[in-house]
Amino acid sequence: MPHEVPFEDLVDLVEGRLSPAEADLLEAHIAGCAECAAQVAWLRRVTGLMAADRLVDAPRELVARAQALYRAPQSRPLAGLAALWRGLWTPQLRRAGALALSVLLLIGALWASSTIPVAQAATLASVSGQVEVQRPGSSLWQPASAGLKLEAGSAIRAGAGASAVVEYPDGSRTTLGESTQIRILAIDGRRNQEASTVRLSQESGHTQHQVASAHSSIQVETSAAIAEASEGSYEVWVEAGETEVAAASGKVAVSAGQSRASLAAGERGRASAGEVRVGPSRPNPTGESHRPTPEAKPVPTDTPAPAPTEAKPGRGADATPTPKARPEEEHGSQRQATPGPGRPQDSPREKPRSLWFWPWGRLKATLTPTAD
Amino acid sequence: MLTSRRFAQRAMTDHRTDTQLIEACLAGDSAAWSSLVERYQRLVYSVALRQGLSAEDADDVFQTVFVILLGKLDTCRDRERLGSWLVTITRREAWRVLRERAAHAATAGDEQQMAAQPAAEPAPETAFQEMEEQDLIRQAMERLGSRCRRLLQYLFYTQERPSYAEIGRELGMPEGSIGPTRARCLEQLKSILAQLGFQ
Repeated sequence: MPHEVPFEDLVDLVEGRLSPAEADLLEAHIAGCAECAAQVAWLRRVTGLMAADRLVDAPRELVARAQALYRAPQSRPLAGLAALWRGLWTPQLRRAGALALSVLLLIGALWASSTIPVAQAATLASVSGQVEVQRPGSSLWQPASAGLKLEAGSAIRAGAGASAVVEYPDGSRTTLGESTQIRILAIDGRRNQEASTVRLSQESGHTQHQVASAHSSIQVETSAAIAEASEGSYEVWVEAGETEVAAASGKVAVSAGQSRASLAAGERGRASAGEVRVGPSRPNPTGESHRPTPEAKPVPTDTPAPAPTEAKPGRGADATPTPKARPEEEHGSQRQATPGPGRPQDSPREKPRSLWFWPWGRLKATLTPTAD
Repeated sequence: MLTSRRFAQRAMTDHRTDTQLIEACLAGDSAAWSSLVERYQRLVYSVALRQGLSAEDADDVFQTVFVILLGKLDTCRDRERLGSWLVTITRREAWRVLRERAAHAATAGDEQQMAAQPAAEPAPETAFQEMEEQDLIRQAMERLGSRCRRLLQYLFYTQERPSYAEIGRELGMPEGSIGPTRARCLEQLKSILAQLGFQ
């Protein structure tokens, strides 16, 4: 029997292309040839995996969205032009090149001054206590001081007793309370407007956000919810898988899973397990002694809830009926998101609402008294 | 007529290793990130679906997984198998979504519970290891020349195995050369797979 069996024959065997007699002969040889046996085992495994392969490609727009997540740490838009200039650096073409380049620059300048969104950076406006920053793409935490530039992708954390203020180009601000960590996912601005679109993720702690201008917005993503406001100010607490959002002024859209709610000034929303529950503002605005209160679970009520109006999902923020706002208490008190006297103490008798949006487009709302 | 059902042709396959791509991303090369997403989109998406998510939830998980990857590029630099790490992250995120759905359903009653059922039964544990290997084989296939890739695709990825005559017609190859070419292509695939760390 030949010692060398052509690989091709082994493939034929695995594919079942040999006659029974040929196959028997080859099998007998393989039984005594470790190398052949390894080849056959590899072929069986790989062709078996290929035949069972049911992997599917992700939709292209999804791939494109994931690819667009990346923003270069130091993007140098002029690098391409500089390379072009070097390429043109021959006496003959220099003049023509210079002309072409100035045209390009002019077009570029016009383009840049239009309303096309451009990536911006934030600034660490003030720091108190131990505040650290993690640069985009790095795992290193470095001590931070006021004035530091923060590009999209940067993470900021404030230690125990510390706080920090992040300021965006349009004057909008995010304040980090103690033991808080956030990451700036994106800051987009429009050159000819004083406006920034800010996206943050909050891992822990307490933040306060003030939206400065009409075209601006600040969105905060947490493990449990996404909150977004394009006016006024609001606060976000992240604790033990729960997210709580309090609107101080303006309106805040909160979503968790399919559930969406719109918070008016003075209201708070609590999101966990894919659901947002809306209630009056929390009694303890500092967040320090705050624990999510399990006793706030709704119990069925004898009084039937007023029938909610039809609403479409996805437009939840605006379509959600909101409890009465109390704007008069909120005006001019943006820094004190939840002022003390006169307000929250009356809340236990108020009826918190649970609002759910379901994929098929029906809004269910129940009005229930608190358990206590 | 043969149908090549699963190999959508991409313009270019980036031949850099995962580590090289990650290094390039960290150095500011956005094309490297695009290549990385392109390389693992299929695995991440397939695992999300296989875990029992609806297409809509799979979309969300897909995005989340790549956000996590982007945030952890630095620590992924020296990871031997980025694929298996991504499978773990994708499954974890998928579980999170399913748990949220279940909790949601529990508070909302029967009618909603119907909708909260997983879109499909989650696959057994070994299935994910298999998917990771299948994806690695696909990556190796993408690095083959187009002739080899198409030949192996017809031979091993189609449900009903076409005859050599049929394949010969389709690929414009003499029928007699298909057998030897197939063996050579498999040997190439084997060496590429070895480079990719397939054991």
